[in-house]
Amino acid sequence: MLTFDEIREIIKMIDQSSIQHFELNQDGTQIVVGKYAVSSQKNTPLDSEGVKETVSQRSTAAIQQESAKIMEEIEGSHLHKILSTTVGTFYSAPEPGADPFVKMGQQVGPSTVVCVLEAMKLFNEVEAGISGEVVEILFKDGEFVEYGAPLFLVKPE
Amino acid sequence: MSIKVLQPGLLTSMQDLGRYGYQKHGVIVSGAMDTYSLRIANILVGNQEGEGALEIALLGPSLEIEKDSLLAITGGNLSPTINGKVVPMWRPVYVKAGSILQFGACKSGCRSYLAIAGGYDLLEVMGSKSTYLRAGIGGFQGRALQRGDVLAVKSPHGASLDRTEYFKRKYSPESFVSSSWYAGRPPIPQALRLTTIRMTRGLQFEYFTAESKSQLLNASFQVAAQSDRMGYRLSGVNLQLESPLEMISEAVALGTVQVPPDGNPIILLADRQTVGGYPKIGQVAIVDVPILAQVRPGATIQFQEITLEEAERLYIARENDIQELKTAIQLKFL
Repeated sequence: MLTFDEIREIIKMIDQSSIQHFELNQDGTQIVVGKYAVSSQKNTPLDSEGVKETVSQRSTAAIQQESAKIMEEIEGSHLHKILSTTVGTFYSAPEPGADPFVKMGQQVGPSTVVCVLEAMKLFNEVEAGISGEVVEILFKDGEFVEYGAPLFLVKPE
Repeated sequence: MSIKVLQPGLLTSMQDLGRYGYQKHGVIVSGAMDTYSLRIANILVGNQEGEGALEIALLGPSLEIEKDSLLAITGGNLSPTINGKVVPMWRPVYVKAGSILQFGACKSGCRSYLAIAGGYDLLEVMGSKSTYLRAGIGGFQGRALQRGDVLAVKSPHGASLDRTEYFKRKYSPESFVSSSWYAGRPPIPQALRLTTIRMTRGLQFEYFTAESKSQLLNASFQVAAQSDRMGYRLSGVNLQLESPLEMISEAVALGTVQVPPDGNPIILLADRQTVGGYPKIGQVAIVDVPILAQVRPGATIQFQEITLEEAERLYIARENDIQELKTAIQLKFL
């Protein structure tokens, strides 16, 4: 039976090597170590216990990836949400076939029109309300939007 | 209290929804080519939807707005600017006295409509403010606008006054202020794209050769340069009758597609004659007349046949849409 320190040593070595997948069978004990992209879970609570558990179970690389994800989640809470001003149908461009008002990664100013919401044949412009970079577009053309729903995520300047 | 014409443009004339009730006396209907755009322009500024508005064709005028006014520009995009700044279309725009409204390059469609809150102060002739250009009656002195003309504007009242006051409060010292919403509209034809126009069969459809009937619905037609407010002449396909047809002149309507002996069809529009003796191969669906009116000479169209029931269904749906839009706009001013 391997000791905790031995397991840690193995993980460390694998992490520093180019090995992607490692399996060891010894005296009925099986260890499997792999470097995999960690799938993100939305709204992961930032739980130190959870983080420790991860440390003990996964390789350092995986931990780094995980913490990067967590950092993103933390940052995410600082992202500005552009909220819907009405109930209506989402359109990213002024008319079919036209260029969208904004694209991913685009810098916007407070009065930049980011989309239109159609209600009763009237198209309502939605302004960014903040300066920053568009990092996520949460609706597609033709989708129905509720009042107050987040439409875009903007990383403030 | 007025608008001064600095440059008249190619053909800028006063129009409304037409002069109905006098065709039996040989008086043509006239009115806006694109009645949808005219109606929406008036609705936006709080006027009655059939109020007179300026129809601005292909090459727009330069106008001086001599009084603080609420206006709306709809129809084809003729690059309107106020004091050099691009004016958004299909929405109410409040402008300060002394502003210069100028139209430029034709970006889409070919006819813009300019409505002003309160309406233009003109006498109605036979119940209409439309200009009957050939007869020289109605509108502004029965003719297209000329340089130096001064158009009187009525004081806004009721809804048009409320809306003018609303935007006046929002006004900051810029050249103009407009709403953050705009009215929906049917697609405005682009110059280089083929536009599909829906039609029903005309009264004499069956008298045409099988080839002509097939070509009518499958070939594309070019709108000839000599097209005008009376009608669009189409070229590209020669439509022929099975055998010569002796016809007594009978009523024609907005959107009637008639075929003279040379085989090139003509679509009758706002300034159409009251009766015609040429066989009628088709009838443009009324909802597509405003789209057709925005097709520029030189551009191409194709016909798509629909049933009378479908044309009627589209018409009712369009009218419902306009009512919905009217309500939505009213709600914006509560």
